[in-house]
Amino acid sequence: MSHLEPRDGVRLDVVDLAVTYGDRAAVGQVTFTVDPGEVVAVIGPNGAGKSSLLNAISGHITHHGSVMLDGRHCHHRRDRANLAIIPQRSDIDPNFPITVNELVASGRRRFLRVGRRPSGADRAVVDNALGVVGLADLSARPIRTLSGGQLQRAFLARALAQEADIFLLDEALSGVDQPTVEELVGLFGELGRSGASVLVATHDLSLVRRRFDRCLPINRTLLADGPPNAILDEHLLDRLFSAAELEPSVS
Amino acid sequence: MNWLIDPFRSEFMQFALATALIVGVTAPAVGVWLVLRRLAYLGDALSHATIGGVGVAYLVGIPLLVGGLIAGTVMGLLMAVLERHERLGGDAIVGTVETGLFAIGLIILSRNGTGVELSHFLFGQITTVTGTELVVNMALGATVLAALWVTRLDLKMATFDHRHATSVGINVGGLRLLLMVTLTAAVVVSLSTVGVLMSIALLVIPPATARLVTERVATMTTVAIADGIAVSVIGLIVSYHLGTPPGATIALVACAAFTVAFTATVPRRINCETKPPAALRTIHP
Repeated sequence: MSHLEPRDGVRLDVVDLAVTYGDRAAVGQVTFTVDPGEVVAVIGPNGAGKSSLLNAISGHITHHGSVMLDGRHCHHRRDRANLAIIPQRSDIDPNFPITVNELVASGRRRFLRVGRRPSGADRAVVDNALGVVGLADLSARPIRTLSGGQLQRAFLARALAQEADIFLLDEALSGVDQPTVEELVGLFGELGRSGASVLVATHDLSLVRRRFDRCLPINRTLLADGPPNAILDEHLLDRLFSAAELEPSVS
Repeated sequence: MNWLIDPFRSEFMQFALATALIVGVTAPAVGVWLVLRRLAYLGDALSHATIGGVGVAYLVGIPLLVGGLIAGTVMGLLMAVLERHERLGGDAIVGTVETGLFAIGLIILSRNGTGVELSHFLFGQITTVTGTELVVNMALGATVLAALWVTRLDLKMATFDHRHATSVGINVGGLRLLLMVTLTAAVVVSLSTVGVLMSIALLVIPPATARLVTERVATMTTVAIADGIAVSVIGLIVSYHLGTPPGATIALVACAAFTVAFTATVPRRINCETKPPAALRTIHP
């Protein structure tokens, strides 16, 4: 029987995080904390800096400011090995010749040396992860035969196999039909209850209002932090989708 | 049967066959990763750049293979430094560096007194391969295959999703460098066989053919290598009997195999495009 292992989780502290590309500020001076078990929506229009924020947290792009896990500064990528980033479909080649099982098994790589194949114990973790996301029957399928929602679940299974404590989803709900979106958000809730933290970048306001308890509206800078129905008022939405906010100078 | 055996009765044709087999295995093994990363043009560019190294090697009196390897490494380093340029894409950088190194090689090798036949490197001269060259090619090929075998799982992850690969501790930059070095070695091995202009034939066409008919990287690699060996040997035999240039003949045979695979898989591709994937049909009938 597949199950989500309860975990202690990890607190994520983001302090004065800023990302610049040349002389252009993508994210400026963002500070927030995510406690273990929280499921948080990062919301904003295209180009608002959501992907840059998640990439900076996961250490894939250089940034100013600090990212801390349980109070420890993450100076190197290896300090963030229990952070999993789940890409949007357009970031990968959906026709790549890889099966669902191989994709999920790649999450075990952090526990293996170069050239080593997963052991029996690793395969058991992979099978459990596939079961949790409901893809056990499709494990031998090439990923190109999966629907958008199934592919996202496969990536979630990979993050589970990675034994990640923090899941970063970069527009992972884009291009997925509504029933599947609801299923995936339900899965995020289960992850949260198991102790994992989940950050979901999205621009779907209605979904955030209905299904999330906390959201971080971002338009280059963090505009607010709290329950969506309490903070997403007309004034904040004007600022969130304002073109003027999209072109701040580097401070 | 004699038609198959006759070409290989002489020693120089036996050397040619051995060289064709080495290239037929090595080039597709590297080329699989070029095709999967959609970097086929990089193989073409690197093969041209290698001529620059060969030319400089003649000038300073070092082995040509070493010159070729140095040129490939220089190109890889220049690309790594220049590709972060804000206004230019990587393809523009590759085009510029490739042309520059190729031009240097052409100018040096076309000067009187070098004693070098330029066409030897441009079009290959598989029937003049010496025993020493064969041994060096074999060592280079074995090294390339060993490096690719050890890193195959990491290469697959880094090719598919480099951000995930990085987060699980894979040295994505190191793998990219490894790919450049193995690509350079494969091009150098190809120099004497099919030549610079045709080296792309064995680097890209067998893996592309294999990609049409397979769904897994391991199978794709096996099929690409089998195809590489087959087209090299068949090309060599055909060129012997028809008196055509071996490099060009091997390239044409590779193209023919690709055309057959492409045509044979047309119905399957049309089927995939008109029907939703099986998984979708099951869940959303």
